[in-house]
Amino acid sequence: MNQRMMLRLPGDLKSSMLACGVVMGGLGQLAFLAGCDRAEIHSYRVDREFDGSSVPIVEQKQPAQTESLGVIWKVPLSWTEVETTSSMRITTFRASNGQEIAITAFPGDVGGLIANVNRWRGQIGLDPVDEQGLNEDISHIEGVDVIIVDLAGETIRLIGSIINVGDGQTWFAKAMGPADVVEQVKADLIAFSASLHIHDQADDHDHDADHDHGESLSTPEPASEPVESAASTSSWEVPAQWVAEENASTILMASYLSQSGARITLTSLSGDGGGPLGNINRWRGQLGLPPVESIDPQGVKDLGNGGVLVDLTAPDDSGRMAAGIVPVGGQTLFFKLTGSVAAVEAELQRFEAFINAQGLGKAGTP
Amino acid sequence: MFRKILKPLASLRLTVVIFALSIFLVFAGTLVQVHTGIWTVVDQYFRSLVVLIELQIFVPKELATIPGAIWFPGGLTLGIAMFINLLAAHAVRFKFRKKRIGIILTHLGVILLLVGEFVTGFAAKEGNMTIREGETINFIEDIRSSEIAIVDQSDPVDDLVVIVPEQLIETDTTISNELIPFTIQVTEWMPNSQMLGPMQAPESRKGLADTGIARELAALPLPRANGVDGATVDAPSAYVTLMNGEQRIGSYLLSVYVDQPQMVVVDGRTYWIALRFARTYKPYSLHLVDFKHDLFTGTQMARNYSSDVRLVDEGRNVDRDVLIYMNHPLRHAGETFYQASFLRDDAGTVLQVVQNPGWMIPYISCTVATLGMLIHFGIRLVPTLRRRS
Repeated sequence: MNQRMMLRLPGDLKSSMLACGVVMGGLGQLAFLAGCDRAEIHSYRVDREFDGSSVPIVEQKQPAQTESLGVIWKVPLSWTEVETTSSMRITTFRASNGQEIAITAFPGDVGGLIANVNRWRGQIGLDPVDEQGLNEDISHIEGVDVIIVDLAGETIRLIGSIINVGDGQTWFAKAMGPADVVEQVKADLIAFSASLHIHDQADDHDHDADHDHGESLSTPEPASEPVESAASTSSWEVPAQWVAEENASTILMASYLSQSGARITLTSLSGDGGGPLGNINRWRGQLGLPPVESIDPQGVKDLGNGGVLVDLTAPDDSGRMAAGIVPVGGQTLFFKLTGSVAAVEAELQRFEAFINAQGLGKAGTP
Repeated sequence: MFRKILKPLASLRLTVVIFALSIFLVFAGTLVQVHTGIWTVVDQYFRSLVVLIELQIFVPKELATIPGAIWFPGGLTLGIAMFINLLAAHAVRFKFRKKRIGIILTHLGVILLLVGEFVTGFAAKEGNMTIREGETINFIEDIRSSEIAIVDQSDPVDDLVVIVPEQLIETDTTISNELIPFTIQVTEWMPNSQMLGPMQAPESRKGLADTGIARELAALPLPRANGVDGATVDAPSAYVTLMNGEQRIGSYLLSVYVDQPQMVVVDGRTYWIALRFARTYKPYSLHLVDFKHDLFTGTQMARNYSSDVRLVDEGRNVDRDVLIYMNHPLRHAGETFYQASFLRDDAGTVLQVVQNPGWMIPYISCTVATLGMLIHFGIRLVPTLRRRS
């Protein structure tokens, strides 16, 4: 009975498979033995590559791209894609401050620039303008076909962009709401708008470059077109800004020891890194100072371009910390100078210069 | 006698079975890439003797949960079987006739192709060289594997580096060795991770490290990058506790995100520890003189990327300037350097370095097989045409 239920193979195939199995068994053992060189702990000598007190700063990040209708964009760190309520929209983002940004696309020029600006003006209760008045509402981004429209109503502000990526459609990104809230997303919206482009070969290589090169049976030589790697950022002129929320893993770090014994560290975190108030209170706690409810403008030094510097001393003078918080694109750089009161004092001037060179030079863009 | 052994191996039915199994393997290997990184799949499915194929890969999880898995011959097994089958068939049935020369050449091409993949599978190496402008680099990084490096700088001139390979970090919870001045206890190994700041980390991930410059940060495990959702490179991190005998030195967060080695003091001596992509040092060095990133006028579209490098290899008496750009790689010492990527703000270049002793074989095999087919069909075509005319 059992015999009948078994799969019946032709006799010669059975013997073929048996013979093949025997040969394979032998070869398999050889292959197994060859593969048995388990990695071991080993050592070697190299020329000195780093100095404990001076370490190069290298960025690590994983830019993420999103694509719709063959058009690619890069999502600012502080934006999250949310469910789109309107069928007219391609997608909707919500910035970390709660502001919604709606993305739409329509064929053709959708009535032209004036019609679109006036449509938006109408939405926030402003009268239509003619061509002369138009220029006050719009600005252009250099190098790309993007027009930024910034409209301030009595209570509501609308910042929108009209983007022509060359796919026969007009793309719109729009943020509308309380003036101060909308203002906070303006830089991200501009950068987002400038990142839109038609999916091209370079985008494919972004995915393929690290994987598909030259090792498979039929793949010829590796493609050598440049691509972005995990260790680099995009070619977009304001880098560091465009990382998807779920991949928000960006840190660059350096640490130095000064001759006076103070330690200087630099860390880059995605988004606002937890916000200035939270971080300042954490540092206060480390020095034994009570937390504060809000940041006293008198207690911080404005470094310009959104950067601030706080200088904190422990109640018993046992330690001091100067810390710079500098937003750069979608990241925040944290500079810390810690040590004894005297050591920090000795380094403070150089520290500020360091913040200027490393952080502020890149801040505030676009 | 010889023929008697070879005959079953040369069976055409066996060929058909191997082809059928191969088709299924490729199908399963393609489906599993939805969830698994391509290189994991290549190793598990195509360069292995056997593979355990989970049945779940054939049905989306949203539709149904399918438990269980089947053992299946891996690509290496099928490749070797096909190789033996093909050779045996020729040994048994080989008769040299002019008419068969096309068939013989075509099969020779296929045999070469199989040989080429064996050579590539076992001998090819590839990695990246990341060089900033003005920097000189003499090592290649393998972005698919990492290592813990422990550096002793007590020598005034050079560094003594002890390497713990990723395979050990993955499998051993306690790593000790006479080369390492302390014991490494791996608390958590994350093959891929993301890094969060002190104010961003969830409570459960806070305080896992208490020593080192990354102690205030937190690493969160991520699924391995599969190339489908944008991320292409795994960024490993590990929480480790270092022990000096019975004495605890501290808990460290090691990560490829943290570029700086972290200080460890043992019995008054300073060491540096870092988790980094695995390095291979080379007898030559590349110095990046200039990296150029040209755009089409008025656009953000890249027109050209090029690296102006100086190659110095004292052992080979080489000291020359080379321009590496798209489709113009540098070939040196059996390795090929391709322009692959660049750093932020065009501050440096990323070269892909490929060493594959079998890189020519696929070209030769395809040429031979094509030639074989042309001859074979040509031989048949000529009499047919004659008959018609």
